[in-house]
Amino acid sequence: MNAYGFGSGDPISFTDPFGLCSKEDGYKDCCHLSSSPDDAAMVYMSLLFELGDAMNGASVPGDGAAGALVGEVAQGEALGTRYVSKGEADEIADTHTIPATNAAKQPKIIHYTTDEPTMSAQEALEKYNLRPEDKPTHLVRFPLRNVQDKVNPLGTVRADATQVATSKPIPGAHTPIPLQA
Amino acid sequence: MLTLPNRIQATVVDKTTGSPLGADILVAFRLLVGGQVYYADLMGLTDKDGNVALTREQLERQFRANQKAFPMDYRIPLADCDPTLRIVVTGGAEFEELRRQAVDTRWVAPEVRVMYNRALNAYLDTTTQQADVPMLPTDALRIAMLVERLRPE
Repeated sequence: MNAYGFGSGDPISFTDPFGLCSKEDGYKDCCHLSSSPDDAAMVYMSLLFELGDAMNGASVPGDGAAGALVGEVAQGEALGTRYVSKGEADEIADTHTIPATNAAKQPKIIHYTTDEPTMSAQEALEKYNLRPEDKPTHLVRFPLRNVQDKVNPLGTVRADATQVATSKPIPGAHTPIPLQA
Repeated sequence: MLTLPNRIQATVVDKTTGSPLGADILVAFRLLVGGQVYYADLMGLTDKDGNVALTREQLERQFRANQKAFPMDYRIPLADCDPTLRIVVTGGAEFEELRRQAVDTRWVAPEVRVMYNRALNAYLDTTTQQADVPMLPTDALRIAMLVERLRPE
């Protein structure tokens, strides 16, 4: 086995979790390693998302034309993000549906965002004006095309943030990912 | 601006006979923001006289638990809701579906599941009654619900 076959033989400059990185295609499937902590966090985050997608039968980046559609999720598809509690994360992990009812099976609005996701619970809390005592524990992503209706969001968010709301359950949710406290 | 009364009581009455419908009818409520449903929860099962009641403390405790469970969805305090209370009896096939989901959903609390299993709502028509909540603090808000039977129990 060639230990340097992954990352196009350059494990110092690239990460290559799926073994797709090569010089022939211009290194398009390679992930640059970075000395910046922010960039490193982004790489970590994208790998977590990819892992969540793969576990959910979704697309894996770079799996080629034949594998552009795997399961329900199309590669490069627009995703929404929702920050959730552990209880809701467990429910979504079981059903892959974001429920539009609460624990009494009574209707509720689902709020989500189309902003770039953050792995920091604190940042999510500040950005979406969440209550400090109700800090989310997970984030969950889902294809925006699975949203069945839109209603007015209830509550405000920070000026640089956006929020959207729906009254219907959202199917096809990815496996929830734990947030950093 | 909503000032919750200390106690909310609903009485479920047969629309045809005018007499109380009796025990084990599951009653829910809705609070609104800008005319849109914001928070919905259960009041509980009626007693033999068709009555069900919920105290302000119980309602606030239930809301608090929902805020924790859904951090993005319940950011508006109850005091900022519309001064309106909507009481709902879900019946017929709609209730049967709700009951099926309640039994199938892992995170529904066991006591809630028991209520859905005991409830006789499937024999009733879905009914909603809206009431204005007084601006000044009140001890109790009483609401009568006229509900139609779809078929005998």
